[in-house]
Amino acid sequence: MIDIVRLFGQPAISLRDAETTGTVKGVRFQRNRVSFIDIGTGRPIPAGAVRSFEGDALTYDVEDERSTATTGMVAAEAPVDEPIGARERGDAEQADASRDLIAGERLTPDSVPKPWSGNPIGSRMLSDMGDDLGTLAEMFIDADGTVIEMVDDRGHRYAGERLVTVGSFAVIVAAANGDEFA
Amino acid sequence: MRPPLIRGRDLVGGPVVDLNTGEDLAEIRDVVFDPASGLLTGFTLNKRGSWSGRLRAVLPIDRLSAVGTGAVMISDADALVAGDDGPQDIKAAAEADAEVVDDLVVTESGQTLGIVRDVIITGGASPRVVAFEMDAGEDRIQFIPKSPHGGVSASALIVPDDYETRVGDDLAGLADQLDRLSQEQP
Repeated sequence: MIDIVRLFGQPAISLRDAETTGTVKGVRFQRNRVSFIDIGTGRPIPAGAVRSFEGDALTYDVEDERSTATTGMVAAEAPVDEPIGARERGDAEQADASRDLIAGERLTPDSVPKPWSGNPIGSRMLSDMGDDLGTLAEMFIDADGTVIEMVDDRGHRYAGERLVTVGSFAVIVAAANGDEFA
Repeated sequence: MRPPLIRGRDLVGGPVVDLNTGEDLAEIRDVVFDPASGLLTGFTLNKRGSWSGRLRAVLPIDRLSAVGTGAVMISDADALVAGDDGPQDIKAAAEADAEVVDDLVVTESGQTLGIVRDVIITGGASPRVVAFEMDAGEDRIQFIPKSPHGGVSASALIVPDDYETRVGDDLAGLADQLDRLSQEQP
C-alpha cells in the first residue's frame, strides 16, 4: 500500500524495451480503482498493464505502445486521444456543456466531459449527499490500484470503498453515519 | 443521521455537482420557494465561475439527488432543464420574484415577532423549507419553525400563537424545536 502522492513524478518505464517513456502526471479513477495512468505522452496506460509502482519507477508492459489507450481498457471507459492531466481542460469542456444548457439543448455524447485525470490530493471532498467534508489530504492505494483509504485535511479517515468518483471539482464519497461536515 | 439545516443564502453561489463525474455544472442563483404552497420548488442557476451570468436552465426540486452543506448534487446534466421546459410552478415563482424575505412574522392573534431574513432548508435527498431566520429586533437573529398550517403572503408569515415559545437562538436550538414538533404531531 502506498500514498498516491508517491506515484506522481515517477518515471514510467516500458518493460518491452526498458525505455523511459514518460513521467506520471495524473491518474484516472473508475469508482474506487485507478483505471488509467497519464504519463504525459497522450497515451494513458491502462491500470491493467502496470507491473509495479511501489518502487522508484512505474513499470508497465503492453504489447503495442501505440495501443495503450485501448489495451486492457475498462469497458465503461472511452478512448483518450490526448493528455488530459490539466483541470483547465475539464473547465473548457464543461463550458461547452454549459453552452449546451444555455441553448436549452440536451447534452450530446461529444459534449459530455471526458473522465478527469490528475492528482486528487488537495481536491475538495463532498459526500454524495452534497455535504462538505474538507479537502483530500492523503489517499492510499494497494498494488492493484484499489483505493484502500482516504484521509481529509482534518485527519478523518474514509474507507476506500466509499469513493464514488474523482472529478475536476471534487472527490465524492458515499455518505455515512458519523461523517463530520467541514 | 439528521440532515443538516442550511440557510437559503448559504446555498446561493454554491455549486451544482454531478455526483457521477465530480464536475460542477452550474451555480445556484436563487432558491425558489412557493409561498402559496409553502414548498421549495427548485433553484434558478448561474453559469459557473468565469462564465458567470444567468443560466436559462433551472433545477426543479424533483430532479436533484441531494442538497448538502457543500453542494447541490445531481445524477447527471439531464437534471438541469431549460427554463422554458421547466415546471410551471418554478417558472411562476421565479418570474413573480416572490420574496418571503422582509415579510413580517405575525402570530395568529396578531403579535409581531420579527421580520423574515431567510429560509432554513433541511438538506438531504428530500430538501424542504422547515423554518425561517428572522430579525427579532435589537440586533437579535432568531429561528422560527415553519407552521404546517400557517400561511405566507407577499407581506406576512403567519404562525400559531404557541410558536412564540418555539423560537430558537441558533440552528442547534432550532433543530431541537423541530424534533419536539415532529414528536408532538401525529
